[in-house]
Amino acid sequence: MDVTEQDMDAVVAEFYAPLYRFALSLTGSVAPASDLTQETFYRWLQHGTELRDPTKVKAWLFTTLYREFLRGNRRTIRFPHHDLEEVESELPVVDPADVGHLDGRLVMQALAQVEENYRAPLSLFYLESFSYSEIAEALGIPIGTVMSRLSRGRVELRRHLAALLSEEDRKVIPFFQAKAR
Amino acid sequence: MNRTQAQFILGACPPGPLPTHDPQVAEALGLAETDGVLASWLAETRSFDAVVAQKLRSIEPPADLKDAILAGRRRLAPVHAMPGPPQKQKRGRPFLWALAAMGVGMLGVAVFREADDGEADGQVAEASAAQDVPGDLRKAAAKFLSEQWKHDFDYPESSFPKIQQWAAEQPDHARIEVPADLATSQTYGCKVFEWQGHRAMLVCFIAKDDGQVIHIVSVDRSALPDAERTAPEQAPIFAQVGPWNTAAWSHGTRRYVALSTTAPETLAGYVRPQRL
Repeated sequence: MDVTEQDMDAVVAEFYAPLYRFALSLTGSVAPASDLTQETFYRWLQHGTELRDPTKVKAWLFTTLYREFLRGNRRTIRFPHHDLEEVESELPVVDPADVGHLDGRLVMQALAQVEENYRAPLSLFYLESFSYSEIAEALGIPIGTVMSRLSRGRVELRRHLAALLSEEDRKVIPFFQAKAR
Repeated sequence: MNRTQAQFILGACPPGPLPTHDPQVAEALGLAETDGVLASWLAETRSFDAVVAQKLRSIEPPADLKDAILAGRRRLAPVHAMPGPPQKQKRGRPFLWALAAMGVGMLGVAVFREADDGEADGQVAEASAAQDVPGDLRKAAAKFLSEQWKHDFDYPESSFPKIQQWAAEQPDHARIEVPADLATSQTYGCKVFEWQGHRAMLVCFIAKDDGQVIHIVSVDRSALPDAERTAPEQAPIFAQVGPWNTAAWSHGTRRYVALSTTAPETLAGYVRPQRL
C-alpha cells in the first residue's frame, strides 16, 4: 500500500479523534494524548507502506498507539488475580442514569484512574466497541485475559464513578447555578 | 453454562447490538431468559456500558490537533511529498530541548553570514570567497538542491546505519560519517549523483526538534582541489547560500556540506565539532 497525501488526509480525518480519546484514556491528560496521537500517525506514515491490507489500518493504528504508550511508560505492573465471583460481588452500585448526568470529561477521568492493564482493553471496548478478539489482537494478549480484564476493569470503573458521583453530590453549588439546573 | 460464565461472556460484548450469531453469546442469552437475576444484571450492565460509551465518545479532541498532525506529516513525509527546498516550512511542535540546542548553537550563529555579503573575517571570508571558486562543493550542492533535486532517492531508508551500510557497498565504498545528533536522526534516504566526474552522495535527515530536512552532501576529498584535498580536518564553516543555511567540514577522507532551511542555530547544533 503506497501512502499518498490523500491517504494520509483520509486516515487522519477518520481516526484522529478516536485515537486521541484512546490516548487520553491511557495518559489521562490532553498534551501527552495529543503527542501520542501525532506520534502514531508519524509511525503510520513511516511504516504504512508495509501494511498490505488497507482494512487493517485501524487495528494497526490502535496497536501502535498502545505500544508507543507502553514504550514511554516502561514499568512492570503486577496485578492480582481475582475470581469472577469475587469480582461480581465487589460490583459497586452505580445508576446509569446518574452517569448520564456526568460530563464526558469526568467519565474519562474515572476511566483514566483504572489500573493501566485493565484500562487499555476497557478503553477500546467503550470507545471503539472493539470485540474481545479485536482487543486481544490490538493489545497482543490472549482472549481469556481480555475478558477477565474487561470484567475487572468495569468493576474498577464503577468504583471510580461511584466515588465521583458521591463527590459531585457533596459539592456546594452556588444558589443561582443550582436553580438553573 | 452457569450464571457466572454467562456474565463473563455477555460482559465482554461491547456496547451496541449483541453478537447473537456467536454461539456462546446465544447460549448466555438463552440462560438469561430463564434466569431473572442474570436478565436483570444484563439489562443494567448494557445500560451502564451504553451510557459510559456515549459519554466517552462525546469528548472532542483539541481543535488544532488534526491540523497539527497534517502539518507535522512533513516531518516524515514520503519521498514524493517531501518538502521542496525554497519554502520555509511550518514549524512543528516546539521541543524544550531545542531551546538548549539553541544555546549551544549560538557559536554557529556568530559565524553565519550571507555568503556573498563581502564579509572578510576568518571563516566567513573563506565561505564568501568560495562562492567564486569553480568546483566549490557548497555552492554546487546548493544549486543541485535548488534546481535539480527531484527527491528520487536511490535508496529510500529511514535508518542512517542502513544508509551507511548501503553506501559502503557502492562502487566507491563510500564511508559516510556524520555528527552523532545527525547519525541518530531519521532519514528520508540517499541519492548518488555525479559532481565533476566524481560520485557525490546526498543523505536527507529529519531534524528531531523541528522536523526540517538537513541535507548532507559528501564527496571523497580526492574530488577536491589540491589545497582542500590535503588540508587538515576542520570544524564546520558556516555560510548562507541563497535560501540555504550551510555548514562545510572535512572528516576522514571525505568532505561534507550540510544544507537546510532550518534555523542557523539548529543546524549549528547538529554539526558542531565535538559531535563529529
